Amino acid sequence: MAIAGLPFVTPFCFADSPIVPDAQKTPGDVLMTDAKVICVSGYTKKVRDVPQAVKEQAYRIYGITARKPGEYEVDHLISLELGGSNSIRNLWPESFITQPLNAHVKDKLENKLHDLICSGQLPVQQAQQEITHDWIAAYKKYVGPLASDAQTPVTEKSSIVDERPLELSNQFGSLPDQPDEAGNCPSSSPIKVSKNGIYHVLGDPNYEHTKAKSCFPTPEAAKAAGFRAPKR
Amino acid sequence: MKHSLFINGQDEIDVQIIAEDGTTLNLDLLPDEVVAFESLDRTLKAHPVFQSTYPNAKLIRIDSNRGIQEEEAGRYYLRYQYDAGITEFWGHHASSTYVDCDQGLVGVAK
Repeated sequence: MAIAGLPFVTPFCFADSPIVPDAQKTPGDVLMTDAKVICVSGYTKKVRDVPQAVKEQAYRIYGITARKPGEYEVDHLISLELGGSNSIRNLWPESFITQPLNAHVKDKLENKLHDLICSGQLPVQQAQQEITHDWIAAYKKYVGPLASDAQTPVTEKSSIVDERPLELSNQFGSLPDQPDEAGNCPSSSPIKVSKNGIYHVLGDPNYEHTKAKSCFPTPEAAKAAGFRAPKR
Repeated sequence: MKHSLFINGQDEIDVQIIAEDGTTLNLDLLPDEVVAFESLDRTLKAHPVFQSTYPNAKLIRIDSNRGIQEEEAGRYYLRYQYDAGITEFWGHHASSTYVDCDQGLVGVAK
């Protein structure tokens, strides 16, 4: 599936990964429009987790009846840090592994928009509208061109990447490893990336209690994937 | 859509009915769904931790997720405006009535 003229690779031949949500099924849903609230440190930790039954329903809605660990996350179209709600109207299963667009790429946009809101450079409602309308366009507007824009386009199922085993992915510096259910990273890939897009190394005071969304073998690999170190 | 639906005396509640396929239906709640929301709301409002954590909570939005089983957390979604902000709860039918304000869960025995 190519979206808006952007071809992308489905690395393991899983076609139709929903990189953009269906507006009929996931129109987006706002909980909060007050920047003073969402910009308070720790705001997203106060917002609820989505029950597993709701996540499973999001998969069913998109016709995903089987999946591998680490293949998708049930993501918020308007992220919690941008004032999105946990209603199923704001949720859809987003691929972790498609290239160049995936959940990690969208995380970068969310972090950028949050920074702009909290520095007074962007109204909350505008950020919510733009990410709802077309998150890929918003990415290009606020973050920059996608990596693929400067590359020779690749077509679905035509790349060598299609045949790449998962365990080799980090040699290419593009695909992270996945944490276990408790958010811990494997020893081969110990760098934890939080849901806010911040990576934590062993010895970092926040390392132990950080629930990883993804894992990298080195800080350099995490940085190359677009994540940042904690601000000191 | 905005309904002038009364749930335990609260009106102007935003009601979303989500079909099994994820689309939003322009329909009214079924009688059983109204009963479920009333029971869930009443259970929360009667709970001392809910009362102290969410003072003056008013139900402002509900989702009926018809693709989720009655017994599963998430079948019903409830959003409250209270003195210090907005919060969300997930409701369902349970073997016994309970409230978990940490997880945002409420179950009512059928």
